[in-house]
Amino acid sequence: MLKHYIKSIIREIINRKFYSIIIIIGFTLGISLWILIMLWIDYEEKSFGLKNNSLLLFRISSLEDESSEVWLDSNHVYHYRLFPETPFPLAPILKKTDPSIVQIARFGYFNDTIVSYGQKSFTEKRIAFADTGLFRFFRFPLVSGSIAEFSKDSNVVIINKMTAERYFEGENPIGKMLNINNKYYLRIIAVVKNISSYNKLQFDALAPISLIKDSNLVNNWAEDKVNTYFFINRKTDTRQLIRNINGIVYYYNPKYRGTYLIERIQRHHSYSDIRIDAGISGDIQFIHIFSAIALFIIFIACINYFNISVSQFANRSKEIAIRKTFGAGKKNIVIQYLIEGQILSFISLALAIFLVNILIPRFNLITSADIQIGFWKNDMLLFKCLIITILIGLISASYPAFYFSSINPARIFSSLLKSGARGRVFRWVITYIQFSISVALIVSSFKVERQLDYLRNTKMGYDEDYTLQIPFSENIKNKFDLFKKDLKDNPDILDVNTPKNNLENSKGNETDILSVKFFPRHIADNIRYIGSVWEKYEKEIPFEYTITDSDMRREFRSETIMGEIFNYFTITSAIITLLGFFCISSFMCEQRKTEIAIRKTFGASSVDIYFLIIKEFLLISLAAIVTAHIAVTFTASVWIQRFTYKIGDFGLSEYVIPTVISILLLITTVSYHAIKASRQEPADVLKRE
Amino acid sequence: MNDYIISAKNLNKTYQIVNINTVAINNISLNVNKGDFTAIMGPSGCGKSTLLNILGLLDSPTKGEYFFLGEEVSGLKEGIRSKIRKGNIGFIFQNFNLIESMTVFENIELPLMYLKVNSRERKKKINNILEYMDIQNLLNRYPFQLSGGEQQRVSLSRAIVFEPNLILADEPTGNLDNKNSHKIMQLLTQINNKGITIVLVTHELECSKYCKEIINILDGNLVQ
Repeated sequence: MLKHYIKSIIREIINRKFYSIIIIIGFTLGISLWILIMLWIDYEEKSFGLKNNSLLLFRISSLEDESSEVWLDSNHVYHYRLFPETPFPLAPILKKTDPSIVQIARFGYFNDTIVSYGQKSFTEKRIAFADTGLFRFFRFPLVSGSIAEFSKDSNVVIINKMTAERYFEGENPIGKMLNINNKYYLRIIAVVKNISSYNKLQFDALAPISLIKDSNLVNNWAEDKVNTYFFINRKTDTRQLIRNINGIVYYYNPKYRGTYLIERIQRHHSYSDIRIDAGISGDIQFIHIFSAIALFIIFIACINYFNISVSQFANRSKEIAIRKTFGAGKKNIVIQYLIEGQILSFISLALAIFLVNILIPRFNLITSADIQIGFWKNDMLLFKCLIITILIGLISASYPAFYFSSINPARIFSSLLKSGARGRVFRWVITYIQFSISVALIVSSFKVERQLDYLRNTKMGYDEDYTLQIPFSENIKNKFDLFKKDLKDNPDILDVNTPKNNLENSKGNETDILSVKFFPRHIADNIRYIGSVWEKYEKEIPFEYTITDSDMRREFRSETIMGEIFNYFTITSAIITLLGFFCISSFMCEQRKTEIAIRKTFGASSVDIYFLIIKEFLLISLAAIVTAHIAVTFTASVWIQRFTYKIGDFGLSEYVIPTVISILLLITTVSYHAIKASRQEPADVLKRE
Repeated sequence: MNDYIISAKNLNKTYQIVNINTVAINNISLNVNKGDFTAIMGPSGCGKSTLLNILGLLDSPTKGEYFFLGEEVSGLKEGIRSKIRKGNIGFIFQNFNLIESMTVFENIELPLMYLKVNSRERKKKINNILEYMDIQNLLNRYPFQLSGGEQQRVSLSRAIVFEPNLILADEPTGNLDNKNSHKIMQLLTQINNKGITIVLVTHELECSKYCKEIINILDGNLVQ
């Protein structure tokens, strides 16, 4: 029987290939977006590096006594920034004095460090140190070696793969010695995988904290220098713990005026108000938003399925009636439709996997993630994909299944039940919902873009040029005019600023920084050129730089990601909805062809017929557009509160442009069949009828 | 009553279309014995197809009693009617009602599928029927590749392949020429001679000549 169902269904899919393709396109796009979001979540979880047992992991952060870091939004909600750093000596004392602490570990960075191996020497910014306990909290997948000696020997170091390649170029680094600031000689014991930009613990090399003997750091209670992570007992009174932490710091540093808090470390690095952190600040809200949008898009695709299925009542009702006449029960018909839904959704899953493989590089580029192409080898993810695929098939096929299974064959044979007459109102309602969602996404993308534009241009006040910041050296200072002239020989270099334009670093210390501004094209070539000029005048200090533009953008990285992905989601939903409208208009014209022929016979012009068809769609779309604007205006007003710097009011263009775009897209889509119907010869139709 | 395959008493069927009640059949009582070949005759729109749908358990009467194979079935739900229909009643239609996307073989196979007859048995039964109807050469063709007469023979094959107790034929020759009509009526007679009860709806006098008994309907009422 199953074989019979599958054979019949496949034939049906092939016979109605145009409509099947439209359904499959919708499902494929919906499932693809869903997979990408799942991959993103999975990647973030893994990249964050938390171990599975880290349910009660916390870290200590300070709320500095600086009014600029606390602000009140228009909804009277306080926002604040936390600095996830503590004094170096806090952790061991806290562990000793507070029994609720099960395990504690510190993580911090050496100041700018020159690392050498043989003839190779680089200034490194991410040379870190940590307590051994850190490995209890976070996962750092090993490439080679072992971390066992990390706790036993102070003079060892773990490096990441990128560092290994930079210093050892294919040689096995295990056992080799790295020179740090000509002060420490550290033996490499392990190489770990490159640390994702999503990970909060960014390092190129990691040494044991026991290496640090400098009393300015070891006994320094005045400055926050390290991240402190800890596990607590399940029954810990966290308020008491916070009091203890602050009590300890005040005891050792009575001048301290800030407050230490503890924050739970969760799988997604989405601490809503914390932005002073390593790695990319993701946001669980975005993931929730995109998961919801992906589900909406899947829902839109499902609506297409049942709209198309139900619109084909005329073609399929006779077959169902015959089946029922010859013994098929309601159950048989329901099963047949549900299997059809499953076949279509599984074909779409296969195509979606293929599509996602193509999209991953682009998606990685947008999100700065490093999602691997062989994602479908991940059992859990595949399981989630299977579940969503089965659900898509079930949800979309359930309405047609029960709709068709309730057909009374006698009425079909006696033509009492005319094609598509049933459920007409319901069909228009779901079409209205479908179009509302799509228009809402179009309207939202305009509002999101406007806010991001505001952030990018108005608030930040920087232009589109890139600025390279280079620590100023004595040799360059002495030959600055020559150095500047050489740089200016490159037409892409726009300006070279002397150190009087220095920037302050995050702790307020002045550093000698040279700024080189260049046109944002051939970025790699330009940086290489600046490097070659640097090496011409500075033989001792390696060329090191940071790009101001990307530093500035980092704060808005998640918003930028959101904006870009939002646009893709909007385009996808619009495509699926318009394909659905294309089908509905085709069915509608088919259904009304006799009516159209009669109208034409009695004097209606082609234009009259065109507007007759378009009118119904326009009414639905106008209702959907109004609904979408109301919903989005409300949602956007809530969303925008999350920004410190926000646009005042959305302009008229944010309402008018999406409305016009939506109507134009709709008219263009529906017009094909409307024009075709309006040009039909009435005699041909009436003769056939 | 036990000898009747069909026994109907005071059957009524009323359709309500926008507050207007239309009486399709009115107080019809009839009995059909096992092995009968009965024609229900009347002009277009007199309610004979409605009566046939009720007799075939495709529809329920608004009022009245209907016993099929001795069981009262008038008030049964569609699910139960479907189970009784399956294996007991074969249908033939004026417009053949073959499934366009299925081959001749698959169309004939359809009722056997729902009866869960195994594949080998199905094949055997279908081959026997195809031979009997002399349409072996049409096996893999689709309905649109067949003439009207061929389609009706396939339709007849589908109706008898599972050896039903009753065959209901709704204007089986309505879309056929004289030659094909005659052939179909001859086949129906042969099938009836094997003991299968046939109830046929027609408005053609020529067809009714093949039947053993004739019931006339006019405006939804039985005419004696």
